[in-house]
Amino acid sequence: MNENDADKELAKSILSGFVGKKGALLMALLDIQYQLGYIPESVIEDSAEILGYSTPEVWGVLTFYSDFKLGKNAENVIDVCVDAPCHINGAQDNWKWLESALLIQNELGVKFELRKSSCPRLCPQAPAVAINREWHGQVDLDRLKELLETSVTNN
Amino acid sequence: MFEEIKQESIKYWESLNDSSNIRISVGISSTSISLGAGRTLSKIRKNVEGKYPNIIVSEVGDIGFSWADPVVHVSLPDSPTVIYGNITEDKVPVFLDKLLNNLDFQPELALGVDSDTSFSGIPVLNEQPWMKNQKRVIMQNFGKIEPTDFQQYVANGGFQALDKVLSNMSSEDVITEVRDSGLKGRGGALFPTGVKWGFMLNATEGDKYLAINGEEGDPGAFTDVSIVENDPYRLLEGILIASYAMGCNKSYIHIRAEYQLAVKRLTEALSNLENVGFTGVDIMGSGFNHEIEIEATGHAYICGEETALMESVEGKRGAPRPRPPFPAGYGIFGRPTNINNVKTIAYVPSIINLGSDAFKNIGTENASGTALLSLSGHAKYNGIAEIPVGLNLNDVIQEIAGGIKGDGKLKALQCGGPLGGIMPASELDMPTEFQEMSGKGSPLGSGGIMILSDDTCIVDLVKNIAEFNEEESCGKCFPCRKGTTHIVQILKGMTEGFGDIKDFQKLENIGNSMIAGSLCGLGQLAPGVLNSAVKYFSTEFKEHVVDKICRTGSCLDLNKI
Repeated sequence: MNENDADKELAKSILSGFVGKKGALLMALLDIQYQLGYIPESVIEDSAEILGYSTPEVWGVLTFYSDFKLGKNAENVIDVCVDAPCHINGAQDNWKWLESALLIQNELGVKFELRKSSCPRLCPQAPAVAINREWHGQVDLDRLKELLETSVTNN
Repeated sequence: MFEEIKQESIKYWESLNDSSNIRISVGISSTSISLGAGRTLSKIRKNVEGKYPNIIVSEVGDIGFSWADPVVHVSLPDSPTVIYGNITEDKVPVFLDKLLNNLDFQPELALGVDSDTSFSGIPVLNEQPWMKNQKRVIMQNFGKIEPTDFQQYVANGGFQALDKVLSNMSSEDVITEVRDSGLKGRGGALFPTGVKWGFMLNATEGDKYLAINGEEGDPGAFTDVSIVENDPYRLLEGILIASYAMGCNKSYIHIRAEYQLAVKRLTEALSNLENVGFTGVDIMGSGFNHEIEIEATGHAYICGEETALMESVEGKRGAPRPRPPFPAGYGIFGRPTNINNVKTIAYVPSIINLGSDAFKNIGTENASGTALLSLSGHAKYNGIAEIPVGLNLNDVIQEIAGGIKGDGKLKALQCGGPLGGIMPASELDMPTEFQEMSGKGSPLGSGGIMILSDDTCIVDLVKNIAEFNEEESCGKCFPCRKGTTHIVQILKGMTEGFGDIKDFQKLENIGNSMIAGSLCGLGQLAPGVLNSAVKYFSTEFKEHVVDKICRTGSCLDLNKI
């Protein structure tokens, strides 16, 4: 789960592509986030150096927008939307079940990371859960277990 | 020049809809994909490919019936288009076999037929109880065209308004037309759009910008993202007309990168526009220059506030700026900037095409036009609807949303997102209109209506919304930063059995300081949901605080009745 050098180099080259562009920091960081799925820690120093920001400015932006993920993800990432429409349709049940599953994940043989995220507005199909970035609607506990079986990588 | 493009597009559209063709289209949007519409589409492709002559399978936009996803539209030779609901992947083989080989139209699966008379036992779509009160202006192409197909948009009246504006109207004419139409900011602030545009005419030299607010952070609101997904050219056409009116040479479309399908379709549509010369230099030979940039951002609710949005476009943390200076004087990178919501701009082509009088005739005296509604929660028919402003709220909830799913009873509505309010079922006999609903303490805002059944615990819901506001407060103003946290602590106590009767006074005091001491709408409006909930559901709050009872059983630490 170490950030590898190839990722760091790719991030660096993305940053270089934004040199001279007005207000480039947020866009460059999003580009890295969506290409790598996370922000390598080296990016903080690198973007300061390449794009001319101070490191606190970079930290400021990275921690402000909740779509950024610092550091490499676990093998599987599960996002649970807990915003109001999902909340009243059973999101808490999904969350609690996953939390307890997280505790015994070694027994299950599945490694995953669990996070609360705002879904891309699937409100009419609440509750929404994403497995490895793919969002699913109307996910009750049975559907959740089924999705885990089919979409999660076992290693 | 435009006439040629238009004629060619119409020819293409007619060839697609030739009466000898079989057309099968699946409504593809992020919401329908989440229920497997993508798999339905590939299954259909697999089943018919090479087996039938003249068959066209395509992905169209989402017609708005999320409750019936995946939705499939079918036109057989010499028959009107029939719209089917709930066609999941596993139903596809039998469905197609009956349809194509036995000409069995399967009325039991149909939602309606797109014609004036019923067909093969299938009722007329526009006469269905959930359609008959709708008035589709912005949504006219939803589910009808392939969202990124330039020619299909043009063949259905697209870019006619831009052509009219660039060849026959001065920028003042356009602003007057929009002002006379009575269009008000649909992000929820309801500032008259034409008046706002007028502010931009004060600056005559140098760069001027238009920023499009597509942040749409309200949980329970999804119409902006649906416009971008289902009809991106409508937004782009509106942007070009608005920019011409204000003399803007550049626009930024602010949209969350996580709305991946929306960003993808918008990017494709924009590059198609560049190819035909509808953006860039000398648009349509008029001498008007304009560049459009898609400004993808990370998720931060506060960026829906216009000064925070400008900070975000500049690539910084989205913390609001104090006003004055106002954006029309000092905006993005210090240049005059006008900020409009996606919905507001999407109305502009229709206002030009229909004329301001016709647009004004839809809706009420106070608010002209239509309202796009995001229906979610416990309703039978969740999805997107477009109604003339002023339609009775009871009709919206009972007919368009179909009331409560299953056998629960309607308890309340949560309108206007986390900065809106809560309204009990007993108050619904009123027009669906922005000001009137604000008067009841539950503003319509950007059109999100969450329908709540009687097994919803109001205190628990208010706590969830308070947690959202706490998370999304940017932290710049102390009363908001501390106030949102304090409210969550108190509400958490109430749901866990530590509530105290003095809490109500505390909540009121916190709310008042937030309203008085916050720079932007988040802090000023965040106490709204709480206040309206305490007002209408005081019994339920007292049960939690005094009797330690949660009547719905949602708060696990309390007793159930």
